[in-house]
Amino acid sequence: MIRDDDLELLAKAKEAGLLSPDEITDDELVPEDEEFIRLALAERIQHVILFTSFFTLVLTGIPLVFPDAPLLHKLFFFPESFWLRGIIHRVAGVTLMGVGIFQVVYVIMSPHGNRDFHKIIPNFQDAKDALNLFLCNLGLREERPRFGKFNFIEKFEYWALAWGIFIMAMTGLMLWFKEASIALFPIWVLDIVRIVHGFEAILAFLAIIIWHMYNVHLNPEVFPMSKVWITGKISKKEMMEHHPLEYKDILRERREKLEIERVKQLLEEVKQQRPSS
Amino acid sequence: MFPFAPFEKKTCFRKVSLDTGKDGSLFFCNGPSRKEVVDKNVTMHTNDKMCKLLFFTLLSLLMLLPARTAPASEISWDNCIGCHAERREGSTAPFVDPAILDESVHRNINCLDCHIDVQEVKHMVGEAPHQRHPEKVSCTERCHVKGNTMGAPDFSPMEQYKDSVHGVAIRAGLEDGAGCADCHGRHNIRSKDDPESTVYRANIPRTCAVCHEDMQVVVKHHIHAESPFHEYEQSVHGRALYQAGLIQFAAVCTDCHGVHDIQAAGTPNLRPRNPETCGKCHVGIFKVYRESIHGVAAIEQHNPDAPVCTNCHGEHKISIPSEAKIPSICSQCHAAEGIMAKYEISVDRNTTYGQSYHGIASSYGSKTVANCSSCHGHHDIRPPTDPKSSVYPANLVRTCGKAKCHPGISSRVASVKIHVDVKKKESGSVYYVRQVLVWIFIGLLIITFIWVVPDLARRIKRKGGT
Repeated sequence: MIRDDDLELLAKAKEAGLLSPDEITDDELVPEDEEFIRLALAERIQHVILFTSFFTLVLTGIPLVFPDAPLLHKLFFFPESFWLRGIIHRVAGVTLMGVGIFQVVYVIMSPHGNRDFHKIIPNFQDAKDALNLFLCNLGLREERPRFGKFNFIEKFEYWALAWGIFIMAMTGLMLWFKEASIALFPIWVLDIVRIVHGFEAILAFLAIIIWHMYNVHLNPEVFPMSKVWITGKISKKEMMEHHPLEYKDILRERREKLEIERVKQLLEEVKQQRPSS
Repeated sequence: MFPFAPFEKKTCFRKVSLDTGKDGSLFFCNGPSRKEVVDKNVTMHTNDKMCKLLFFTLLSLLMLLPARTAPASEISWDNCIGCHAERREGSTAPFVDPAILDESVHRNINCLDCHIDVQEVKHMVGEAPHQRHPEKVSCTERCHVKGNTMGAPDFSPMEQYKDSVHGVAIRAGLEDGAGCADCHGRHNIRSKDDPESTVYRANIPRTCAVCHEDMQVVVKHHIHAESPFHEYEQSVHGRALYQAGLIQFAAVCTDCHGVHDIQAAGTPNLRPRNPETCGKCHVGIFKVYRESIHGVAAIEQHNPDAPVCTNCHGEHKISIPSEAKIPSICSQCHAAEGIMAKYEISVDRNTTYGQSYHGIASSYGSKTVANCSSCHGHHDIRPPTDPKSSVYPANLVRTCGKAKCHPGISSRVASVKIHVDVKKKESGSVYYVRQVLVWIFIGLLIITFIWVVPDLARRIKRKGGT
């Protein structure tokens, strides 16, 4: 991070005309083959655990949502399979809750996570972006909106997931410890909880299949999938294409860093010249 | 009519008659099925050309012998033995094994005491020893009647037999109708206490099976049960008899259907459908059942809709019902609109159970999950308004709180409405929450569609462009 007094120094130097604006080109700052880190290792691990537990939950939970589907009956063919289904569902549920809790700790404690968390908070610009991209898709607008590190779709998915995990964990725990729930809540609450758990599951599954899989993995640009979840990196081209505002920020930051260095170097030279004169 | 069934059944028949061994009628053992015997009235089974030739050769040999005639009063086994006691090549005389006759209860009775229509035996050249074929023997004409002079046990159940399904058939002139000999045997009649007897307890199912497992008989007379013996063999009773050997305890055909007074299916208050019949042995269960809502309706109110033992347990294939099958058994009536409407019982008991976690798990084969009887009981089912009922609100804590179900469940469970149909408005908040979620779901789908289609189009265009 650049310190504030350094920035002030840079501003003064610019005012004094110490630096010529065209001195540093963009290509100097970012080499053509540079790759940017999009997902840190901790985030990639979270992602893997998240989707494994998620799909396990879907697979082991779906017989309760669609009890009449004949194919599912073939899947649970041996007598203890339904009992085993319940056990696996709970294990996966606890794992998913674990990922959720880890994410909360991660965005609070880790500097990287914390910085990114601030970028993923939705704002009014996201609504404008959504409308503009939709108009652009329809051909009513020429220019695509320019996104930062997280576009509105990514923000929506993140918060939908956070909300989904919270709801599913709460309702899931209530159904798991049903005796305690009956003792704590009026009985109709438990009926509602069951409905909510089922429907939220359908919504979550659709959100993942349609929104996440389409937007991130299956769309024609990256088909069959984006490799970011494995490598964690994106190319300069992808960066400029999908996250132009983030790219601009990176350029600005690097330029400022370089300029400050130069200004400091100049000042050093001046200091050395003074005593000798 | 039944292209393959008769063959199969016939094989079964053979098996049965072989199993009975000496017990089966002599004529059965010798070859043709009972059906063939009855239909053709054949007692001679060597009717091919070769045998006929031999027969005439024999007759011509007999011509050399002097003619001999014996009056009826003097005819005894000794007279019959000449033709009937040996299996002779070419003889048309039916073979009667003296050894079997000697072991039967009729060992001291003369042939003509039963075959009363054979008046004389003579061996004339070119003539049969007796002029005509003996008619069917009637056991109740001279001997097995009250006050007979023969010293035979009188056949007191004759009155019952007359009105039984078999007796009625005989009176109607049906040759297939089971008469005395069909169950008790012919020359091999033994006491019912004799293990070799066809009517010894352990042998009764196979004796009945001779006709009742014969598909031709079953089809011809529209008999309600198609293969009762086959089913019986697999039932708890059949296994108790054949595998455990509980000869005195395992129910055999006559224990449920009666002995001489067997009635046809469809007869009002039919004995095998009467819970009291099962209650003769299953005393404890009967006592519980009698006080249940079903028992009261069936026994006290004679309500034909009320389920009796066989409605749930089956008829010949009575077995301990598998837990997983219980919902489908109860739904025979409880999902039937016509029956439930009469008693103002909601018809959705089964569908709401099917929607519940219990129902779903049960449909996936879980054996530990609650089914109808886990909560409502088995033989002791009572209405929820009955304080003795397991689903009476105050009793729910105990019912739901069983050690293997939800031990330590809160007493608030008493206020639970169990059979909730979320798709019905009457269910209240659950219904509305579901509706809201359904619309959110539909809304999201629409938004997704509106979004994805143009987005996909643009991305494909762009990819094609670059």
